Amino acid sequence: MGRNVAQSRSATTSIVNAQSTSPCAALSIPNLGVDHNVKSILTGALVAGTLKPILSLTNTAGDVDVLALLSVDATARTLALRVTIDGVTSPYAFDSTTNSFSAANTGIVAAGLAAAKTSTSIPTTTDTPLSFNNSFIVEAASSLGETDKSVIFIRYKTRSKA
Amino acid sequence: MTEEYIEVELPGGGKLVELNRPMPIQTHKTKGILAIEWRRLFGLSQFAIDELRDNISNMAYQVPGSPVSLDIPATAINLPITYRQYLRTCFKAFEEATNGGNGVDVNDELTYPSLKCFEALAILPPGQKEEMIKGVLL
Repeated sequence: MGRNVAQSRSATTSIVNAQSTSPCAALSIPNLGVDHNVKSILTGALVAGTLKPILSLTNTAGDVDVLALLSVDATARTLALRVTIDGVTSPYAFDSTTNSFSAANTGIVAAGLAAAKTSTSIPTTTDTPLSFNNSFIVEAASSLGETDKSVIFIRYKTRSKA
Repeated sequence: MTEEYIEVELPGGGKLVELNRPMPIQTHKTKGILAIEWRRLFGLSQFAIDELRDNISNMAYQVPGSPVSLDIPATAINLPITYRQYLRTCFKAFEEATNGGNGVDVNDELTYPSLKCFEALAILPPGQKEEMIKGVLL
């Protein structure tokens, strides 16, 4: 008799990249939503400097291969992105804030794209996915009180818990 | 403002709670526009643009049929420099952006004013710059 064996892999405990330490330089990723088949979620109404939950996956396992928070317009601001994996908050898997920047399609990347697009190339997706075994929470913040001026881009797959 | 979160039961158990703020479907590419994509937006005007680009530093050249000279202040964009001086810079920026750069950006500070200059020189028909500045239709 066959038996389905749920995949199990270790959860990501920390994400270290060029932007994982605050304050970080913001990264420009034009056309992310167009060129990379990622889901986009506007951040809605943000209170200045206050993290807001955007997406929460609970009681499930999965893998996130793209996660970024980018600006919609060129108003000067900082952006912050926080990721909680399997409820671990000390420390958070990712918790970082950009320096102030003034450009659209610019922000902070926790997973996925390693380089901004040029006219002759696309960003390289060389990052390994973030893995979670029970929960995955994404929170976003802006230095400004504003509405729908930043967007979460995410691509993930869920799988059966072990 | 009351915001809505949607809740979805996931296959195999689990729950997704997501802010219900989908991004409007992008209809145009506004950044990273390739040279060939941008040139096609000019339509038949691209031939006159090419001639102007090739002759921008030829002080004897004027755009055929243009109501204004290349060597008068660029009043269409409220600058004291001449159309020739401004467009020479725009052509250089275009070359840099599309030859190893990040492509044309419709929101770049040079883009829309350059289109206004082309309209003033009667290279672009009225109304076309408003369509071009939207970007490349996806």
